[in-house]
Amino acid sequence: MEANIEVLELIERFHEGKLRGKELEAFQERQKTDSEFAQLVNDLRTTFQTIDAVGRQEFREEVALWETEIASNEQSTSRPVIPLRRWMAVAASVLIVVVPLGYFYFTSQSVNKEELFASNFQPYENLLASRSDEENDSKALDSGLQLYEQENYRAAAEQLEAHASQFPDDLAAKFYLAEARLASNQPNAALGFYQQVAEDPTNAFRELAEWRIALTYLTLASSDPLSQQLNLILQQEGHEYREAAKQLQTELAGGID
Amino acid sequence: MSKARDSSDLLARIKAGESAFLRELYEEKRTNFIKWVLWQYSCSEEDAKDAYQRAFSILYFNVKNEKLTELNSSLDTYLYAIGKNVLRGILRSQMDAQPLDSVAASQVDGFDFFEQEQQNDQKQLTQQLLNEIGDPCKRILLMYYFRNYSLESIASSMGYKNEGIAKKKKFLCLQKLRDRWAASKVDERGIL
Repeated sequence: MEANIEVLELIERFHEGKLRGKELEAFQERQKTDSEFAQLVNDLRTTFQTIDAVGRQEFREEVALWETEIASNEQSTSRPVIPLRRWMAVAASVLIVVVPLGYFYFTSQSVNKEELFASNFQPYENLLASRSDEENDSKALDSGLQLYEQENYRAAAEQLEAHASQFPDDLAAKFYLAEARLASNQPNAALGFYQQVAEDPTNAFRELAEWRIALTYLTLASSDPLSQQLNLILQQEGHEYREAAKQLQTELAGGID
Repeated sequence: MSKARDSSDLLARIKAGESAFLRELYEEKRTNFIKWVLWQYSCSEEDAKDAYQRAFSILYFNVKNEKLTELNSSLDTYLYAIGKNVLRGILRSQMDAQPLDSVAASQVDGFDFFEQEQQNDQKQLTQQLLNEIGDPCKRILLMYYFRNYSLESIASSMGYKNEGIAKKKKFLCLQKLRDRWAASKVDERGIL
């Protein structure tokens, strides 16, 4: 069948979902009765799919090229050896700028706070899903964790809160309740639950809870408690989030590496 | 400007597919993403960079195909959610690399290899023909059908007088591609 422009345009509109009512009915009828036309419709579907696949591949290659460029820029900027005296002069200048900026950050609602929080916080993976704990078994917990996995954090928090009020010793559930609260932008509601988990020295989530407390203060822009919490983590050799705390402290001070 | 307006503007700019903007966005989000991955998962920096490239590509494809039309959280959160799944896939594939002879029969039951093979052949052929017709046709078809460029943008980018000419050119390219494909199918039948 000859594929003239009018026919191609019609088929393109069909694949784009732009045909409606009688026009669509007539198109579908023609597909049933005209085998060459039906073949052309299928051929073009494959063509559009292939153009999409080629486009995706080319985009991935473009991204890979960006990555190579950025990585090589990073390497080339880290290579030059700077003489000590010059380095100290630059460091002194940087300090003059950074110290007030760092102070400003800790004492104000920084515009970067949200980004910094987002780059450090992702709700922790649900490790309780397959837990079979008859003592603490409740429908609210199951439902809460299910909603948590579906990333419906606000609804998850409500269910987990119902469970926590029924089983106040279930600190693991309280940890996920706090995660759900923080993920749904309710840091004040999250803080107390994290603190309860962090106070239990044997709890598996203790170190993570301590880190989360720091992130909660970050999102609340509570500069002094944040600073104290980061120091608490930094003082603990082998703390799982020590490096992360160190990095955050550096970034807050303005000395991003 | 409101946050909702900000995020809809951002998505609109991503969807427009302009390379310079996407490159800038890629670089802007990169460092924090890689740091986050290295903190959250015990993986190499190479895996983290690989995950970022894939996550960013998926983000773009989802915006382009209108799977993501509004942001309930920040773009970072969405990007990290994709990254989490991508990284799990990378780590799983490193752990689960199973020898070919260990594929269970249940995994292949009901799978139509012939149909799948036929579809792959067709796509491979179209891909080859798309490369053969070359530019400007390949570029126009990709700009319109993949990057969602308007005919006006294509006309401006290709130096055509107006969008009417861009539209005609686009259909002529599609026709050319389809004709070549039809001819190659006739050749194939002739050989058989």
